[in-house]
Amino acid sequence: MPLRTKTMNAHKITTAGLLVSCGLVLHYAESLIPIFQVIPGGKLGLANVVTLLAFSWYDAGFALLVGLLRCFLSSLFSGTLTMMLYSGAGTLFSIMVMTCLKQFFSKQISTVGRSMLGAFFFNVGQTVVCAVVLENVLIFSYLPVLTILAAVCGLLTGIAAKQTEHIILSHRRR
Amino acid sequence: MTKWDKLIFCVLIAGAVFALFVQGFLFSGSQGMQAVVEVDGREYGRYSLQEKNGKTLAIRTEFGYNKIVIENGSVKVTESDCPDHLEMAAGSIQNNGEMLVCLPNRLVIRIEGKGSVDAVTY
Repeated sequence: MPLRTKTMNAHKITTAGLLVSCGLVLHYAESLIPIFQVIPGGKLGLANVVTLLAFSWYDAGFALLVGLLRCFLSSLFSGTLTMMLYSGAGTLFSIMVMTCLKQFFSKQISTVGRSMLGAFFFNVGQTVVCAVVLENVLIFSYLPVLTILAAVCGLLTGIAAKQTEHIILSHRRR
Repeated sequence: MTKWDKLIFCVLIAGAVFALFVQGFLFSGSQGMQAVVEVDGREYGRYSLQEKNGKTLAIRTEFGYNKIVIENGSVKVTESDCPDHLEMAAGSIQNNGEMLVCLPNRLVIRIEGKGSVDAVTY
């Protein structure tokens, strides 16, 4: 699997736009559900389905584009600049890990496992940046609860992405 | 779902639960003496929890605005201008090691005291 396809054609641009806007709508929709607002940074992460789909639709570079755009835009709409820093770091780290998983372990670890580990490393990246900015190591005490949330919600988003993948892969054209 | 996926799930859950146990053991949960307020990693102020009449504090920084109330030996956040208000939903804290965090406003309120233990070695 190539890491980056050389052409940035119109199809790629429109697909990216479509995925990012779906991600923004999902992000807004899940913010209306009050149940997940217990832990700082913990959420269902429905919008990550879109990032997972970007991996299967094109490649890792494309997924990075979609992920960063999504992070930037949702922080503009419903967050602060500080949150952009935190979730940007988490997004970068988690997409790097998911890229390695897709490149080297795509036989053993399917989309579901990739989603769970992506969610976990998103939390790790975000917590590390928080600890550096707040100069406070105690913030890591939130990580265990966030990990349980990451495992469960990663499982759900991974299954959702897997089911959608079938449909996308049959219609995809390079 | 491959068997590695299931393994990842179990490892994540087991590791997190184990870490929670360790955490519960390390933080003794003794009554705190003072509340330390930090903004952007720098100490903003220390306030004793033993104040008889209670104390209200408005923290206005370049990152945002939070209002905290110290009374009855505990601290809570009553007002804030951040989008998610998680530090208000967390309620009040009073034991050593407990924290209230407002990530967008880079605010951390934690309890310190005589009996506070950060790590135990044997």
